[in-house]
Amino acid sequence: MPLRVLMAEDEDLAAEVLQEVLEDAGFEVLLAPDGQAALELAAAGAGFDVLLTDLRMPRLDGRELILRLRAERPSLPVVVMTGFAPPEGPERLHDGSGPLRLLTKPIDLSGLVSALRAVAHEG
Amino acid sequence: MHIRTLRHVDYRVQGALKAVTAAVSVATAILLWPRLLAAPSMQALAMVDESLPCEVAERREAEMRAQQSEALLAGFFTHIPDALFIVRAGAEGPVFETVNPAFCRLFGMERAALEGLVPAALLEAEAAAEFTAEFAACLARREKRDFETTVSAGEAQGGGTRHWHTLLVPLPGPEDEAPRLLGSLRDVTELRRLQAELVETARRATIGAMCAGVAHEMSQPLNIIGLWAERARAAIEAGGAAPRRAVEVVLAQTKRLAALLDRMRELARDAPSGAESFDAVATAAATVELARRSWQLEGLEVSLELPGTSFLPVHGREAQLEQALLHLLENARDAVLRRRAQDPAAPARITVSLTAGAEPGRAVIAVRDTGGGVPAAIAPSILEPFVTSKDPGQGTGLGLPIAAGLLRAMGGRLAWTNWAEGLPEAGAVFRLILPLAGSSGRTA
Repeated sequence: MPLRVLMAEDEDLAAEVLQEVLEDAGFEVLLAPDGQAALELAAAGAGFDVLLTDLRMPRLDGRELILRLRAERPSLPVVVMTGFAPPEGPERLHDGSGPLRLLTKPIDLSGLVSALRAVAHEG
Repeated sequence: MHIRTLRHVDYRVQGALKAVTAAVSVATAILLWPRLLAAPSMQALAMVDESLPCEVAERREAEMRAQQSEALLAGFFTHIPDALFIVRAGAEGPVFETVNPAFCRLFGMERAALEGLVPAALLEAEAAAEFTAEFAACLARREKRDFETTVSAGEAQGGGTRHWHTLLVPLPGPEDEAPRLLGSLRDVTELRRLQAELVETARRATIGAMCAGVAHEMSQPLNIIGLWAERARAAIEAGGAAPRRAVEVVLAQTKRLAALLDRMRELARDAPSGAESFDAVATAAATVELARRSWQLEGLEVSLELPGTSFLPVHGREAQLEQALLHLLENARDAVLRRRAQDPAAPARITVSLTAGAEPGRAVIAVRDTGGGVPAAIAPSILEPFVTSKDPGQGTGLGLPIAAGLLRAMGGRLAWTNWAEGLPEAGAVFRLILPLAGSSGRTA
């Protein structure tokens, strides 16, 4: 069964190519244009194994999205894509529960695929 | 003795003398009696007797108080950490008449050696000349003078370059004496060093914030270019042609990056030359018309309110005023559209109004919107680069600082305030304040 990825990304052009690449790599992709939409998809019962999210997004940012989803699923595997690594480091995004990888933009596609597989395996 | 004897001439003379004496006595009595009657009574004399010691005691107390306050002042003069001095006008300029111990410490000299010196004997030539000029100005205007001097200090002053803050105040005194000033001299080197350090810290923080903003703004298009290029390479390696769409995306994102660089260059540009007088009414009307045409499909109401006069000559560069006004209009539009996305019933109005004379020598172009106003969290830094209330990707946070920079370069400034808070038409008003042509106050 393919790994299902919930992807929250507000840049359409990035989301488009990421979806293509991930689907080519054998993932099933659920696309949300921002954090709020991703949260609504999850609340509506959409099934997914990994969260792939941007940090800065309108309505609800990536940090808040991770916290809210992990309130329900503490071991949810997460991959974060960010344009500017938070100065306090990825530690701030960890709440001590599930596995998390931080990727800095520009995103390396093969790196992304292996990061998704790695966190899904750890989770 | 016979009665006729009394008629003898000698007795007549005696009689006349006695009569005159009696008349004088009576007259004196008449004159003196009222005075005698008006003289203080014994009671009054007793009161005077009692109050005299009181008066003496009061006078002694007043003298004591005067001595005490003199001692207090002397105490201040002696113990205050600032160098104090009294300087009087001598034949060839100011002469140090009295100095306090802090002054002696500052110059590392005995009081006796300092008193009677002229500034040139204590200070370097340039500092002495400045002191003498300030002394003359203080005497001429009879008002406080306040100035800072940079001196190459000797060992007594801690060596190196020191900054001294000097204060001169006229002292009241008799007209026939040489006029005197009271002065204080404080070493503010450490204070200035701390201030410079603060400025440097703030500068570094601003550069840091700018770098973070630039990194974020550039990372999005770079990311998209990278992703599509990588995708295209995979397609080529797989034997296919480069997907046309990937090439188009890469080109469009390159343009997005170039536009960002243009805005940053604009921000960094120095003050332009070639300022001239032009009509602000015509410029504002043309810019508002341009905005109205561009946004006609967005359901925005953009209106222009003109002053009574149809010609408002201002000083600056027309193209730059246009640009600054356009940045403010774009900012207003974004705020109005953002608010309407959340509340479709909210009014969507931008009003540009021109006024002259509200500030002397200035024209004001106000851009008022119904976008809900500037959020309190970013209000203090709204004119700094990369500070924005817009969602990621919706604005770079460069429009307002660019507008502010353009206005500064024209000798004007940008001001703003929220208005109608709590009302449906709540929003922000940004004011472009420009020097009127021919006005002297061109540096705001």
